[in-house]
Amino acid sequence: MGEILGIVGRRVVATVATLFGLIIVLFHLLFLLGSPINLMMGEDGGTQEQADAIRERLGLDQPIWQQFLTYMGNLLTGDLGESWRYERPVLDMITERLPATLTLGLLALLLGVLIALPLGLLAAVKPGSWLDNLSRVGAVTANSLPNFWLAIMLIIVFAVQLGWVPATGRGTWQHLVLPVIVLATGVVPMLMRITRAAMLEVLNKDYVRTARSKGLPERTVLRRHALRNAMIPVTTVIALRVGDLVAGTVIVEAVFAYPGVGRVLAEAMAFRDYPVVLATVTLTAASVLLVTLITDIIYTVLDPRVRIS
Amino acid sequence: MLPLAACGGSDSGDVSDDGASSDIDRELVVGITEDLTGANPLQRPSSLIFGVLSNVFDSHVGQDPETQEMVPQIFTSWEPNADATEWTIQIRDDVTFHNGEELTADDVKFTLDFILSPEMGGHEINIFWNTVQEIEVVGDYELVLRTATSTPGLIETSELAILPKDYIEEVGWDGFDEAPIGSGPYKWVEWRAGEHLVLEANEDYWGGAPEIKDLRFRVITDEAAMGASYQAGEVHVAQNIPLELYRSLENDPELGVGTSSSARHYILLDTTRPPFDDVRVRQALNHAIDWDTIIEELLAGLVERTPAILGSAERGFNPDLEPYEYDPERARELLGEAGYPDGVDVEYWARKGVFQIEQVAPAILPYLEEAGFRATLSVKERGDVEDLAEERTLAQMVSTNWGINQQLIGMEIYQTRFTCNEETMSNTWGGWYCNPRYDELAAEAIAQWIDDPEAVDAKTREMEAILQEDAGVGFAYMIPRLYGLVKSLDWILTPTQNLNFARARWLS
Amino acid sequence: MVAEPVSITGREKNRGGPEPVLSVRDLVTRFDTRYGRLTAVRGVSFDLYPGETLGVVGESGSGKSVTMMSVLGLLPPNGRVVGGQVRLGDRDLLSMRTNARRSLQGKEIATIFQDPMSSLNPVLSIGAQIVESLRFHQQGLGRKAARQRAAELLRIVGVPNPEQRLDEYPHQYSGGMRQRAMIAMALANDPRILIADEPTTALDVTTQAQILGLLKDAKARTGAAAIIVTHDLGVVAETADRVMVMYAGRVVEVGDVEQVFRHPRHPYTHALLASSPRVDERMDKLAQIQGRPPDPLETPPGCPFQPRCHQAGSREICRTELPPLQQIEPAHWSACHFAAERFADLATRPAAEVQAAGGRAVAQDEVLRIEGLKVHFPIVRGVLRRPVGTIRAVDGIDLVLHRAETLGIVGESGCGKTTTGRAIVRLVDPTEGRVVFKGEDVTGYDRDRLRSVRRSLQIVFQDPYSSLDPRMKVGALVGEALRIHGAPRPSHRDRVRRVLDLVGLRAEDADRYPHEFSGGQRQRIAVARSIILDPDVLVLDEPVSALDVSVQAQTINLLMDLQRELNMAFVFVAHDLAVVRHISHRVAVMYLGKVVEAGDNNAVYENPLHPYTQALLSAVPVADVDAGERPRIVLSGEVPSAANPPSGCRFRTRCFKAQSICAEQEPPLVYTPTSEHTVACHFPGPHPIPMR
Repeated sequence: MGEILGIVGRRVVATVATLFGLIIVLFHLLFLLGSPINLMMGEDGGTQEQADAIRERLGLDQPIWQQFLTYMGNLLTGDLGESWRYERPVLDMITERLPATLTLGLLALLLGVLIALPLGLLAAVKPGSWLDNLSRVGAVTANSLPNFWLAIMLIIVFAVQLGWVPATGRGTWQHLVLPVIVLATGVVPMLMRITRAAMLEVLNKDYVRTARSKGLPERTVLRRHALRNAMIPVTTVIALRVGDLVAGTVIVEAVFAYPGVGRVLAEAMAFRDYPVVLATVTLTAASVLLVTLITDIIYTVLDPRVRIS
Repeated sequence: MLPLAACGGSDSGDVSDDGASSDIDRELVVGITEDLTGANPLQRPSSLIFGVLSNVFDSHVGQDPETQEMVPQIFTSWEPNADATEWTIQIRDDVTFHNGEELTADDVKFTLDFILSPEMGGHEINIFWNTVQEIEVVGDYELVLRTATSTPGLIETSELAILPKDYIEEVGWDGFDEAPIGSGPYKWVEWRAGEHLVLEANEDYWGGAPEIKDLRFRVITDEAAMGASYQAGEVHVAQNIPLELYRSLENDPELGVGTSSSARHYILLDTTRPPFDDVRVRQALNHAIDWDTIIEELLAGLVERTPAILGSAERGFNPDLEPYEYDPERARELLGEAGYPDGVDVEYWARKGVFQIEQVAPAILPYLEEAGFRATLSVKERGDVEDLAEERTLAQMVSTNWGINQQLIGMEIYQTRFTCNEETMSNTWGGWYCNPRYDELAAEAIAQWIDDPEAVDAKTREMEAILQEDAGVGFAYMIPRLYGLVKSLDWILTPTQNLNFARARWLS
Repeated sequence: MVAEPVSITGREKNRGGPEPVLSVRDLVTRFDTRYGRLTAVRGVSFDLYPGETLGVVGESGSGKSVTMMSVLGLLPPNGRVVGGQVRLGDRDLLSMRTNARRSLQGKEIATIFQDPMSSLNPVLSIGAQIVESLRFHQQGLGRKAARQRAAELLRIVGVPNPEQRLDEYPHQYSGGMRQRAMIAMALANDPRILIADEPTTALDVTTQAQILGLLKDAKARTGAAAIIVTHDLGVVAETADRVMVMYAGRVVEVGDVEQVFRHPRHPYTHALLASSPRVDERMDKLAQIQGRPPDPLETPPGCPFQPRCHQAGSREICRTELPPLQQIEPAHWSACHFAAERFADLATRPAAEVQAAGGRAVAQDEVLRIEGLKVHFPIVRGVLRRPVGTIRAVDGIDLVLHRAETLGIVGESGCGKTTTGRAIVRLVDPTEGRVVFKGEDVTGYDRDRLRSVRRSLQIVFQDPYSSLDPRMKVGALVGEALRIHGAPRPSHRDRVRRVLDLVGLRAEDADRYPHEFSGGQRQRIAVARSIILDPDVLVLDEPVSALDVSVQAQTINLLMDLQRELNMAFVFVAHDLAVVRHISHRVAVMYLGKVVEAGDNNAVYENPLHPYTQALLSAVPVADVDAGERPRIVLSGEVPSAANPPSGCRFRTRCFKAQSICAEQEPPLVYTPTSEHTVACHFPGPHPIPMR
């Protein structure tokens, strides 16, 4: 246990350092992208006087290093700043949308795992079977569907024509059905392929042969000896997919008019609302790193070899 | 939690059992493309959102949905002195805020004090009113404004939503943001960022209680999602549906469509350097493009060509002008006269976000080519174009747009864009083409602003004729906003898209 | 010595002896591969009698392992038994359903696999893996009792602190300990049959001795019959009662170990024995079997060994008729048409040449000298890569190499022999000490200056495949060094052709890719590549340990020929004492970063003075049933960590002679008054029991 705590401690330090570096890079990168002043003055532009007033109000008249120090200083006290466009605390904007995105993302991940894992495992146990072939064809098809297109198709069929579920918005569980399916479709193919490959590889391992040579029934061999080893790479892939899921929500939330963090980010980017962009990306990165951290912990439980190094 | 029971409610806008049935008590759901930035109507980011908030807050003056005339709202009369530096204002005496408190001159003064405070610096509303120096409350329903300089257009160029002084002083701005009150036809119920704004009818509204009792604005930024939601019956008014959907619904018995102009598409020309510093080249460009064909083929005939910069709904539009004729021969001739008999290379940018520009801009190229303009096209992000406009480093031709203003005052674009004074030059978009004659005309118009609005429009028409002759820009067309409007709703979509539903009702 | 039951095989019925515990008849196993259907086992029959040990030998591809996996029902998914019978007592295993058949496994038949690391589940503790086996076959055995029994088993197989080590995972065990755990698992349910598939192949020689001893004890304790599958004739000679030799999916000879080894009745067995180098005596020549085993996808008529047979000559019958397995004498069967003949010796190189390599006629001009060489690697931890310790891989050694001489460096894994080889060609940088090449101190040379030296200092690695870029043609691979070192272009092709010829490849092989070659041929390519610049010194890092015996002999002969022709000096790094003995002029024995004994080849092998050398030599199994009972010095414990070596003499923790001085003082590597070579021991001298 102490060993695991030690590993976790080290990973936490590394995670914080990574985040810190990310903020530094992002902050400067965003300022290279251009000033938000013109966008804030509306489509028809404005006078120099207006521009100066806005610049002063946002503190953009100060040198960039000073802006950065102010930002970091505020950050250390837990203040993520205010949205330029909405003049509201960024933290409020994100936290009020976060539950929506988390619900969507976690359900999609859950659905994806529930579909991909059993299919991948069955396909590996009986390679070349109809199930294997079918799921592989399905995976390739699903992989080649653009998220956006799939979402529109599902809306047209299930919301507009059949009227089974609402097309857009949020509120009831029906609102989640289509977006979750779309997001899960992005997760399943890769996860299934990895699961299948991992399981196939494990089934060819000498220790599986050893387990069979001990006389254990095939079911026990699969469950006790193969599955756990196969889950090690699969866990990593699931963790990596979390980052993709976050990216996927940006599109899916837009198409389904679903008020989540992805929408906040997309809009903030369009309006160069940098405090919001910075905070959203940082928090997203933090959540991905958190998932990685959790994965590492699961890893140490699954794979005793990690504990030593 | 029983999800099945929950879904029957009207909030999810079920199509199957609801459809376009004429339930008079039905909630009206309006899909809007943009979210609120907050409850305060004075910090509004766009005219669209101001229209949404006009359901909750009354302004000092309002716009007649049919005539687009400025009509009294909270202000009943406003009288300037001779040089328009002092205004005597009477306000209504029968208006109450949603909490029952009376709206008085103190509230008006409070509102003006707020917009003139430094924290409002840079806001559009601040610019309109910043000549005001002194606000004197004369009585409960009367006040006097004194300005630093003569400001004839002070009252009628913007809409000033009146905020409740006592309430805000009591609960603070944060409290106001959480539970805002106004004096408008609808009361604030709930706002969920990115999701919706829910309103309910103000039964005590001074203008009479609205017929539609429940009103909800849903935020749907994606065009395709908006269209799908409209088709699925989840919204009754859908702002900004896809062009294909618009066309497929044109003969639908229940799902109606409508358009409004939101801006104009024009081609900004860099008149400060060759080749567009020569009027003949600019005229050649206007003769070169067959806009009628492009409008028919790519824009479903939904747009209206602008002979000069204004659309027919705008004040000062000159009906005597005919758009430039499509005449490639003449274009080549003019180009030759200007010293480019072998044609000329130009750089052409199209700004993203201009209606259907990804289709229109490439379609222009062959016409340009035929007339002798060898154009290289790049499509640019809005932010990039605006940054470069500020730095005065745009391409020679840029397809962009210019919005219409809430009062449809045509003079505004001339005054802020095409005059040659210092202020215009400092505007991001000002000073590419400028004409000193406009400075004179604009000054004369402002002098007559109050006394003779018709004279102002006449001057605008003169400016239109000059601009067309000078071919100050490439003239194109008014950009439509495509709406879905269920036919069971009785409501007027104004050219300025004022999303006010005080007088809307369901047809039986 | 002779096993009590009269051995029998073939189709004859047993003549009243005990019933066999396992009886295999006409076993045929096929694989579906990308290249087609191949028959790996072609009608194998044998019996296993109670209490006996049957050795199964053959080179890779002979079908020996597949036969066992077929018997066990552990074939990979693309393999299938298509014919024959496997009888365990009175049950026919092949007609049983999978789960029923499997329940006999681990109980009646237990298996020990080759690589204990990959054969143990890395995510389950050793204890869990033993307990699982116990509880599955012994219903009603409680969790606690099973754990106690598992600890008991670990104690039996010699795992120290068994209670505590039950909870450890395979990666926390050393190689030898893992194999012990594997044996414990096999013994868990007192099986009647133990099948060991290359049980000691991945292990060091002293560990191998421990494990072979342990297997013998285990067999004695349980009375089980055993099958040991191995490529090592020495292991068979020392452990088996009977031996079965396989070639190309068939049994070619089977019989009593002594009879088979003394008078092999099949030319293949005969050649195998002649081509294995021996640790206990210097052979003047290594016989070599020409060619390669037949392609299992093709089945030409006649004897499968015919194309390589040195006896068959042009005899018609060998090409047309498959020889059946027939009894030659009591308890001895052979599948050769001419089994009754006395076989001629294998063709070898002229004795004179051999003399040159084996004798002392070596020029005494020095080409390479290593003084006080140390190579230390830091152990780093954490994000900041903080050094927390040092691995002293090589810790102060002196070596001298003369022109046209072979210096053998032997020792077990972790002794520093490979690092020494790499330090010589400067693949790793020495921490301390000097490398003097032809009188020039090259230790401090930078990259550029090193390049000019490197062309004269080349290295060949163990794994011939991974060291050859698969996308390059052989000609390009071999000629690569020419280009890098800027030799004139037009001569490249000729040069490549000449070198290919030298290593016994054809000129047209230059246009093929490495994957088209067998392991032995790839090693020839690697050698060609390294000699193309005419180096003065060639470091050979385990060049033959991945090769089968017959190919190994070909390669060793090739290297010796090359040395004679090109006057090159070799540093030959290997763990195989027999191979080193055969090829080297002088030898250095390393232990934990130090040379413990060095000197003339014969002197060291004939008269080892260091206890470690003695232990090493005694541990090597010898493929000679007439060598007699040799005393075996079984070392206790394991090699200590190179990060924290023992004080004084590093070997003292395992030494049977250790006294208090050994812990205090490090013995220098010196000549003793009576020795002809140097030794680093406080108490040098012959082992009290004569080695021979």
